[in-house]
Amino acid sequence: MSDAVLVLLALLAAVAGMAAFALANETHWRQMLRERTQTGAARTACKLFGAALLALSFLLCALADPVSMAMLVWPMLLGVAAATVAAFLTLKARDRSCR
Amino acid sequence: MRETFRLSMAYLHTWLGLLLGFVLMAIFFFGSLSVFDREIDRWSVPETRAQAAPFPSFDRSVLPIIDSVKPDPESMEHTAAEVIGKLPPADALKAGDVGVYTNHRDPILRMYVAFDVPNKPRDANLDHVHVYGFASVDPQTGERLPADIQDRLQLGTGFFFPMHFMLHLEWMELGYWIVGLAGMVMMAALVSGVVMHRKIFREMFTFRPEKARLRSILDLHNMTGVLALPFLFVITLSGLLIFAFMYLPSPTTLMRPLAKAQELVEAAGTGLPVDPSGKPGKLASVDAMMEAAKARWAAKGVPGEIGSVAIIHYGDADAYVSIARDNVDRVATSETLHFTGSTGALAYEDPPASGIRTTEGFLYGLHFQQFRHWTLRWLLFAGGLAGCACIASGFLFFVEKRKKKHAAIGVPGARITEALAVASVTGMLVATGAMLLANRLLPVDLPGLAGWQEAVFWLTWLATLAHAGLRSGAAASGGFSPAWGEQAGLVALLAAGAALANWVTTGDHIIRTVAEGYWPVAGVDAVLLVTAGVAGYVALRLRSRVRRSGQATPAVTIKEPAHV
Amino acid sequence: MKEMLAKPGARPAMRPLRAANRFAAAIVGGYLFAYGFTALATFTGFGAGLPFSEAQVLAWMLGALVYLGAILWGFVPRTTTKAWTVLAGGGAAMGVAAWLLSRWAV
Repeated sequence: MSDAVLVLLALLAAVAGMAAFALANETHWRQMLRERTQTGAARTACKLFGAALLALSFLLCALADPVSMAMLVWPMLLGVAAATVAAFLTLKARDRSCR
Repeated sequence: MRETFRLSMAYLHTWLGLLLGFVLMAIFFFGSLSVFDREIDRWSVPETRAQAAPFPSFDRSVLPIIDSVKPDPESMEHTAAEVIGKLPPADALKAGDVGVYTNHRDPILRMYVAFDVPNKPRDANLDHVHVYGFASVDPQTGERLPADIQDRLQLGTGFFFPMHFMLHLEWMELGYWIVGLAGMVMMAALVSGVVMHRKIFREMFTFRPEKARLRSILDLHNMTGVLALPFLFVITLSGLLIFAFMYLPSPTTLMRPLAKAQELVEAAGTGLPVDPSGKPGKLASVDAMMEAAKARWAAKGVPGEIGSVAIIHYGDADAYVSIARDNVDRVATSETLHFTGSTGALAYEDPPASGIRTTEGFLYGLHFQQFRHWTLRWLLFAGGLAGCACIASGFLFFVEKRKKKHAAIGVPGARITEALAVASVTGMLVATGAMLLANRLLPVDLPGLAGWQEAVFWLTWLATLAHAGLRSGAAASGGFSPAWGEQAGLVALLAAGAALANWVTTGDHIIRTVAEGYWPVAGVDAVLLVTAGVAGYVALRLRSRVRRSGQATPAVTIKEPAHV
Repeated sequence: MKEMLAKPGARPAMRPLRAANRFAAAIVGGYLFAYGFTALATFTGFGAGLPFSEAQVLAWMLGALVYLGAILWGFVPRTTTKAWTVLAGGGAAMGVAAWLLSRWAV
């Protein structure tokens, strides 16, 4: 698998991980899933899942590049991933308020 | 001072952010441009638009040129002020050290010659100073570049990059110190920003552009700050460490005898001669040393190309040659090999880096960014721009929050701050765009071409400040000053104009450079066009908002009292 | 720029001169603290067996963070005098200590 593909997969994993962390937040949970309540167990599960996905993302970065480079690429990917999730949530909220 | 720690942090964040925010905007913006400094060099000096080439033959291409390098007049002036007594005339100065370096992004081989100066330095902490001379070599032909091309101002490495770390303020090294203070304040602003925001990680994904302007500006400020937080903190810390020797010289000033003694001990440990013998000597084949270096790296499992070659004590019997690897595949710097000048034998190899040296190398490396990793390079560029967005939105929040109140009680604080913010954000972009355009439009043989381009930059920036000041009355009690939209429109015109001028004056337009795969120029043009698009969109949105609302919307108070 | 806090019972904002004094204590006093720290930390590292130049690098890395901490802490004490005393005084003390110790060591 080429390095570029690995980094792309790392980014996707990071986006998924950040999405999981966003869901761990009550406001965003209600935004995405209409259910009123979010159990403590669900919140914990989201955080664990998110952490695992972010760890996977780092692993993919470390496969693509020497570890010292991966240590720089990964945090930057996390920033991009979080921004992507935030943009999605913002647009979703706008959608809902316009309907 | 304040009742709780959090309130103190809020106070500190607001006022330090205000005081140094303008400087930090410049540091982050020009720092972002510096990520692509060599690409901007290619764009601004079209004669050097060639593919990067590996290190040429030293013996055939570089050695013959060394003796033709003369001391640079500016360097003579600079050093004359640093020494006691008059400097000898330029022709009488002898070359002490010679350095040659190239880069995987740079088609030009650069050389510096450090001429020995017999005078004692005025600063007692320095042992000696040098006068420098420079040359550039085309690695494809092995010829020295014609003087008029070599002396041409390269906008990336020659203007935007020094702007980033010393603001072109050379008097008493004031620029370096202001940048250093700004760096410390940035870290304090980051930490205090996190402390004062109770729900910072809970609100990490929150951006509410549909809410009142003040709320959405604050959301943007918090979000750009948090998402780029690791980058912003580490890039600032690493930048400060690069100049730590200047900012915190206390180990040398307070413990001078010990420091000097240890310097000699550490130098003796390498076995390399600290001082020249004074007797002339011949230099063995440097090409052979370069081959030996490459073989050694390959044997150690890190094959690579030559990054730099330095001859210490040039022309002396005790000369030695230090050869460093071009580190395209790692962040930190790697060990350098040192060869005896007269024999070409390996004299000393830097030992494997200790924990501290590895950390130091990593921090330097992530700031200087000499690696070949285009994704990472663009990500770091984006991080720098996120820093700019964070600072700019901080200004907007500060101004919007106080505008109505200040207008009511007749205090000009918010208006003045907004004018300064406009100049610092859009004004800086306008000045940069104007400089790039001037670079393309001014005739190449104009005497003092470098000075003219720099004048365009500084005068344009000053003009944007004047414009922002004049327009500040129009939205004194609320809403954005019209200067924002007007300057955004100007940015769009200048950025598009610069890309267009590149096409007209060199024939390189973006479709052609992409098709040819000449990415340095394609990249710069692409960023210019995207900038023009974004700035144009912002300008139109701001105009339509003013037209729609007629007058400014009132400022809204925010619930959180900590945001002072 | 008079009332900045909506919270009831909060102290009013400081007059510009007193605010300037507090900023000076944090930034200038903090710098002096970092200056002294760097020298003493270098000496300590060297004494612990590190090469002098490496001890210096470590001292710089820590020194930047110490300066950061000093700036933040400078806004905490109730009186600016206390901030000045601790930061500038502490820096001077560490600097003098480094100066003395280094001469004894050579």
